[in-house]
Amino acid sequence: MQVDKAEALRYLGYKRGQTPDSATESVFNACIPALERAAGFLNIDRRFPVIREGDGIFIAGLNLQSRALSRHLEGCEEAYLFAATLGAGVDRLMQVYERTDLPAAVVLQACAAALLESCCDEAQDSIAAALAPGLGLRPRFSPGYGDLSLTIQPGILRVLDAQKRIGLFCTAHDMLTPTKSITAVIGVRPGCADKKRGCETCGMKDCTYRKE
Amino acid sequence: MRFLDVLSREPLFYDGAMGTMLQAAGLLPGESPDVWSVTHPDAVRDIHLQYLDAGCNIVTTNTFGCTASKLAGTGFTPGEVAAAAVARAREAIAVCGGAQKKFAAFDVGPTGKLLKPLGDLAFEDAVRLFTESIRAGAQAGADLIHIETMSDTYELKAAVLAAKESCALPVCATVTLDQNGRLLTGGDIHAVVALLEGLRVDALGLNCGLGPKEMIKFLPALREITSLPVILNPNAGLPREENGKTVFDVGPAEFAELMAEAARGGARLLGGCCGTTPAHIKALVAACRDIPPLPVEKKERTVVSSYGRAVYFEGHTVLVGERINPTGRSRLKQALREGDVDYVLREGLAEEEAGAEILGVNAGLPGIDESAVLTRMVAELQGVTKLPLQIDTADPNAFVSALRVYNGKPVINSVNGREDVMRAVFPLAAKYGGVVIALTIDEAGIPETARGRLAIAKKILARAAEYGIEKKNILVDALTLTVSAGDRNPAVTLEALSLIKKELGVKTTLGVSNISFGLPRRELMTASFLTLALYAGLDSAIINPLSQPVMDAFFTAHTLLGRDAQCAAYLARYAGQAAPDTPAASPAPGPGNLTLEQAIRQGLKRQAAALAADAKDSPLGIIEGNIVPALNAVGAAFEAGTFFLPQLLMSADAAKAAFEVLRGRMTASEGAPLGCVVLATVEGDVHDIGKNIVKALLENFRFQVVDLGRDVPPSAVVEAALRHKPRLVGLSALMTTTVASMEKTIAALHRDAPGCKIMVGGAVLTADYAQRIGADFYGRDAMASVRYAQEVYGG
Repeated sequence: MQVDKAEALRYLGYKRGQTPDSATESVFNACIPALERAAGFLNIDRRFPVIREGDGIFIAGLNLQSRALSRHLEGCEEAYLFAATLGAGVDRLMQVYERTDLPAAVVLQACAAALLESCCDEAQDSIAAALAPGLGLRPRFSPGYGDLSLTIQPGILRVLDAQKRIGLFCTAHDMLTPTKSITAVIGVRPGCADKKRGCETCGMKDCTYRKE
Repeated sequence: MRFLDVLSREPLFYDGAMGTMLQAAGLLPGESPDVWSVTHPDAVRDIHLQYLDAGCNIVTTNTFGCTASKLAGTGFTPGEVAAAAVARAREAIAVCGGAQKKFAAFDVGPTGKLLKPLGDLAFEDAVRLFTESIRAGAQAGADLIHIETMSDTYELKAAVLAAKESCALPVCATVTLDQNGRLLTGGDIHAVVALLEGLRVDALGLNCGLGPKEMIKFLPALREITSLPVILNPNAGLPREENGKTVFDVGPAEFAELMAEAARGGARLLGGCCGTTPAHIKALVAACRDIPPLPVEKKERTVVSSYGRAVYFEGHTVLVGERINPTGRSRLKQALREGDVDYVLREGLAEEEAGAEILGVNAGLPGIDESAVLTRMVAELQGVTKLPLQIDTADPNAFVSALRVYNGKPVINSVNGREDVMRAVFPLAAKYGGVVIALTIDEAGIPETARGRLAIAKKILARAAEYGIEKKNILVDALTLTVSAGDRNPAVTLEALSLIKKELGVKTTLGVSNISFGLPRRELMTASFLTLALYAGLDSAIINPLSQPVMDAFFTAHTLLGRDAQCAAYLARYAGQAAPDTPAASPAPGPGNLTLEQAIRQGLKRQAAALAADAKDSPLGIIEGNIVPALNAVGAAFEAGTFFLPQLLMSADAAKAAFEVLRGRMTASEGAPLGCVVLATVEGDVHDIGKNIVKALLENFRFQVVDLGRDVPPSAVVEAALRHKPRLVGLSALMTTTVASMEKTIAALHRDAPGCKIMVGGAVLTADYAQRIGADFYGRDAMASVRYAQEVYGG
């Protein structure tokens, strides 16, 4: 479980080829070990048939109304519901930094986001490796992408029993807590696994963080 | 036969899983199991009966999700569901022909929400949710309360408090550990046991998460630390997905064999959780029924805890940090008056880093609302530090408030020999749990002899016992009076300490620093007295961990007292250090050849402060001529994309350090801010780093920021706007779901506090959307908000 520094830099607005100055470098060198100690990555997933009714998509009885998701899952007869978290320890570390060292907090935030993504990539790779030959996985598609509403997050957590199994909860406003967490739909379809670059599937062309 | 009487004599057997049995009976996915007690009474009663016929003693009611939060949308209230569930259990008990003793336990599962500050459920709201259902369950005739599947000590405390406040029934509590022996939110069994025993539950243990083999691994440790009977309710193994269903692989025979091992290992209450069936319970009972129960031994250890850690007062002297106490600390006084919680947190974290094991917290300052401030400090500190807290006040109301919100078992500072004080404090210690510091002073004052102080200590211990507070939960403080007011003062204290330890066998503490009050070079006197006190057997020392001489005395004395095998701790701390007065030892960080501007641009905090201190110009001249241009340059570089956020913030920190130095030299009017800005992260949003960045920059650019924090309701923003009359309010929201709160807040401001501009920010927003919801400005990055504030205030 290691932090991909290049990814963290991207979250901080560094474009490809730009490197941090020595002061920022020192902050990274302090943050990364602290983060790796505090993080406890847990994930859970379950596989369900994808049921299409007209324009709607139903997975595990959840009505995932989203045209973007529908397009993304074209050709998929099944999909995984996936949830993961870096755990409460990271939130606590964030709190400490936010109160005492704001530059470090910002760097920690970026590193945690990068760490979460790479841990999820690893977990997704394990799922892919266990698939029957000839099947592959689509990139993760999370609530909040396109027109897939955040309001389905409580349902996903319930289906996965995420509270009990990995300590992942939702607030009254459908936000995940601990905060460094994700839920996602991962489509299964014939063919090789797709390269996991979510930006290609996203409609926000003018996003500052869009991967080139 | 009463539950507690049986528990003291025999092992007892819990039932198995309810959820899977209901599914087998037709419960649909997404349907509330708890509601079935009302809508499918026969099915629920039948499941209880199956477990009773299998031989179990305790049926847990079908109320795992019986809170208002989990029942929302079902059309049923917790009261209705609780009453029905208990009725079903009682009916099954009445019908069952088995000869075993039978009890209906009202089952309490988690609320489904994470408690603040990690999540959005307030502690008191959690207590309310639990109280509603537990009260109904108790009234409906439950024999005991069974709290289970807790993965957070804070929620666990809320549930136990609710049970204790709603009824007088016995309380059992089990938590869920992962394979490393930790709760999902970070606690360990030491923290759990300390908390639960402090709250006076009747039995405790583990359930769910693990199979019998994995769970039994934790039994020896549990048995070693707890004085209570141990409950084990494992799953039927670890879960596995098969054809879209969750299956458990441990069958009844294997389950029973493993649980027999647990019984022989001293587990007193045994049952099953997910994946277990009446067949599992039947096999379990048959295998374990005749195993003679091991005695439950009382432990005499003195322990306190936080959410994640327990500190035992044994084998060494516990170091308690004294710095969060306004007496004699003017900077802290200022912070408390201004509500500057961040300053308090930084002090606490500095003490932790310097080696404190417990943090003292005191807000005793005239002119502030001590109860509110103390409670807030406790709540905030426990969110950032793992260390247990020592809660210090003379006001019983402040105690109630602070003890209630504390996530763990604290040190309670203090009680003394006065009747009225003991009568006020002991009931609180009994209810909320804690180790109580007992001061040897009473209505007659402070005894001048060691024997006199011993007598008061005896009196206090005797009174404490009347409240069920045992000696192990008391720390006697024989009172440290300054040597400057009496030559014999130190000797009396030390004699009293030794006497009290020898004759009463109780642990001791001292506010060591008091010895040097009124003297020059206080640290030296304090350090020496600390050494003497450690030799006399002091168990807990309240000192300043940032004081070099005191800490040197602390560590060297430990080694000299034989508590540091092969001087390992001493060497770890001091090896490779030159003596303090050799020139090479401590190179002061000099400013070198830097200008103040350069120090700010490079984010060099200490150099910036040093340069500001040395600068010859007037403070305003330095600010206008050096600091502001540097910040503007940094800001412009950030906007141009050549400087990045961490650098911007490090420059801000450096500028702030320079300001702090100059502040002392400025008059009130010179130091006056350019204007006031109220900031808040809107209701429902728990992400506030963006708002904190804007705050740091605004303060740098000479604005006064009123920070309302996160998850702020519209009414609070309006109230702040009316009180502070800012020309500018800034709102942040991160997610699409909380942008609605932003819209509501803007509407409320327009209606009730018009006349201020509103700027908004947050990843999800766009300039377009900001305009639609009525904002005046959309800050796309950190500097944009500063530019707008400057514009609004005509800068």
